[in-house]
Amino acid sequence: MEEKLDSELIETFINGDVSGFNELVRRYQERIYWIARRTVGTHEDAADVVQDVFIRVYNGLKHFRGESNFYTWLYRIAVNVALNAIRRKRIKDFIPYDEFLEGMPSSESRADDPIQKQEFQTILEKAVQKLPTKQRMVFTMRYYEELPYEDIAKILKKSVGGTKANYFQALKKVSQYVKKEFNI
Amino acid sequence: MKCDDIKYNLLDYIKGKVSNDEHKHMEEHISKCESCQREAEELLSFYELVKNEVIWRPEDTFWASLLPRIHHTLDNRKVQLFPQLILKYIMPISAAIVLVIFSINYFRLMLSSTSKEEITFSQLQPDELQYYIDQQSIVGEDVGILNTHYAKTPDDDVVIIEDILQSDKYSSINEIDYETIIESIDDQEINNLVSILENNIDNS
Repeated sequence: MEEKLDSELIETFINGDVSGFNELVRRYQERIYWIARRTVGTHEDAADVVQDVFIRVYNGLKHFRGESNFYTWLYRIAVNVALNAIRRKRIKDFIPYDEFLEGMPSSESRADDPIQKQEFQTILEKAVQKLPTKQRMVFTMRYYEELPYEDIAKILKKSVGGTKANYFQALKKVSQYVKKEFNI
Repeated sequence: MKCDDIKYNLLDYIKGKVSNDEHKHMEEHISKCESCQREAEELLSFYELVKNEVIWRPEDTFWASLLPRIHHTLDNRKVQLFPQLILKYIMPISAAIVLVIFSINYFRLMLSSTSKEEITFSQLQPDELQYYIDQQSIVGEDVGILNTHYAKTPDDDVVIIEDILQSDKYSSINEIDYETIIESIDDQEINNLVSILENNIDNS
């Protein structure tokens, strides 16, 4: 069966058939999850973010004008929700941002946690978590999602040149961290 | 191609994610540019370290349960939305409507109580009635003028309504009434009045 376009699914939903929305969730849930997880750092928080993102999509889809790609719009929502989640967590825990990043649970500390014992971070993921938030987002969207710079710039409302430079800086930092961890 | 164009796409080049043409151009540039060559080697060694890392992934049940969880949350919010709507919109709007209706009625009441007061002839003593008839114009409201009358004081604060012809109590002053009344009414009404008076005289 031929796969429907995003725009067709949106139209289906706007016409009152929720299956259009359901299909969009299935299509994008993993990508949004990974953006969220690499931004907020843990599976639990990422799961909340994903859910929140799609609830916002459900409520906002009727107002989606189609001026940009659906996924650009969706990623922008994901970025905002993830950033809000980080802010909420920092406020809730009363910890400065740097300490928040430093304090993110690592694979070792999670080994004793019965809920998270199966969740661990690779060295690359740890390196990504050390990046400043915006750089982390650029890195995630480019390195993992392989989105074009133009789309990342639209999602983050930055210039294309700035996005490229940001990614390259992030890549250098991540590379240095990983090599250091491998003692290279 | 400039060095910046190369370095921003270097990892894609290493991952083999660039087009054949682009790959060829980049390869040419890198072979001639020492700086880009160094960058390429750096990134290649990094990529070799991480490319086979196995990341922790949520189990399939997570993905399978995500959509039902989203709908569950949406349904819960819809249920919660009604009380929220009541609190946020319906109650204030209702209160405002009640306030407006109350204010309108209050002002109407105030206006009617301050500007005019309805008194019937039957509530007046003969001398009071004479006073009003002397002082004020009497305006016929209906075509059959003598059935209903409004008499306004100079201050416009009293309206007198009476069915004069049917008032036995004041039949003795009817002639005075009629004279005054006649001054303020039109020809049609005068004719009506005259015929009624003639009937009254005939009857008496």
